[in-house]
Amino acid sequence: MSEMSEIIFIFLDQLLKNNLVLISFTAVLLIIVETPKLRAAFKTGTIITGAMGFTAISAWIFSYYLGSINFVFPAVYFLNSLIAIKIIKSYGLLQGEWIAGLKREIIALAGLLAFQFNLIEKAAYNYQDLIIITASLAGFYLIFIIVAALKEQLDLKENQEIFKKEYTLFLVLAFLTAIMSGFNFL
Amino acid sequence: MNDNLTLVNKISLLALLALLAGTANGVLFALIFALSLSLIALIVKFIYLINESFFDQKEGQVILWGLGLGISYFLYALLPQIFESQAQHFNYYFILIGVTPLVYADLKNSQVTQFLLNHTLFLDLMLAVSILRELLGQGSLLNYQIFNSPPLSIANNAAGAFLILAISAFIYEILTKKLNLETTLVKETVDNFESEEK
Repeated sequence: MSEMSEIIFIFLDQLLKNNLVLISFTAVLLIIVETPKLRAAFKTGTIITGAMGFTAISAWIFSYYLGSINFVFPAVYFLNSLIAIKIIKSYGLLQGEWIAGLKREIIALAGLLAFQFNLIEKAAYNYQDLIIITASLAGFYLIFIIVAALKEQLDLKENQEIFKKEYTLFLVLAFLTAIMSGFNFL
Repeated sequence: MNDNLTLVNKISLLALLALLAGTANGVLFALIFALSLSLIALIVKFIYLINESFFDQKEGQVILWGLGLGISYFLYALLPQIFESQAQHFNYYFILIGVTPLVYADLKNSQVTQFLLNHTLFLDLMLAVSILRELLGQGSLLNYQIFNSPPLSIANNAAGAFLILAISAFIYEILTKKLNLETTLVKETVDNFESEEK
């Protein structure tokens, strides 16, 4: 396989077949809760993806240099996530309270941490990591936009109350995951 | 979509990652996962109640999240030595228990009622999802092989996680609505708690 086709293969594999949101459930709560209407989702998605990109690069650099003391990784990822939340909030997102007396920041915290854990678990510290990071971010953005579009459809007024709930979205995500993974369970 | 959430709806969102990732390795591991989450939530609630005013501030909140993550990291290192047969299933999802929204839900509510209700329903959902996933996806239950081949192999992978969670939560939602369980559960838990206090 030529180097170019190898890069394309890694990129598409990470974007579709091993999509981090659908296969590893990374930031799935953030996507389900924080997706706005489709028109606004393009901008919101870019901001959140950008912040995730920051955590990925930072985690990648730190994990390379702190490899011998890997027990500190969770603390480093935690600090990265807090900075990323600050970046997202500076654009007016994740403001106010969510449910059960929780601030909206908590929705992003688990997603950002999971993203870093997921990436560093696969890191080989060569150029392929950068392709994986780019594809992962593209995969996140893709699902963000798809879910925004789905939610807009599910919120139609003629739907019964029960179909407006997240369960319908989970069913659609199940089908989407099956398609993207190429129905490999069959 | 988050308006007028029912209790089932609320728990399935607050513990979404646990319900999807914690149920992938059979009922036994799901039980360890769920009980660890509830234990961390209990410790976090206890710490929060010691100095409520401090933990309500921004800095306090970050420290509380850090403590939660620290406890789950400690359990991640400790529990595989206790549950040796399940050791291979402990991955980074277990560390993420410390930042699961359910751990920090209803912290300001000093009554134990809401906490008990949230975590009972969470444990219930975890069991329902993991039983279905193990039975359909692996053909076994608590590691005892029941079917020769998995009846629905999709249940064992990511697509199955979304599917089984959707179906389980949907059934719970309909049941609670039909039998008016939410009101009854809240009332019974409050009554039990009050009678225990007396």
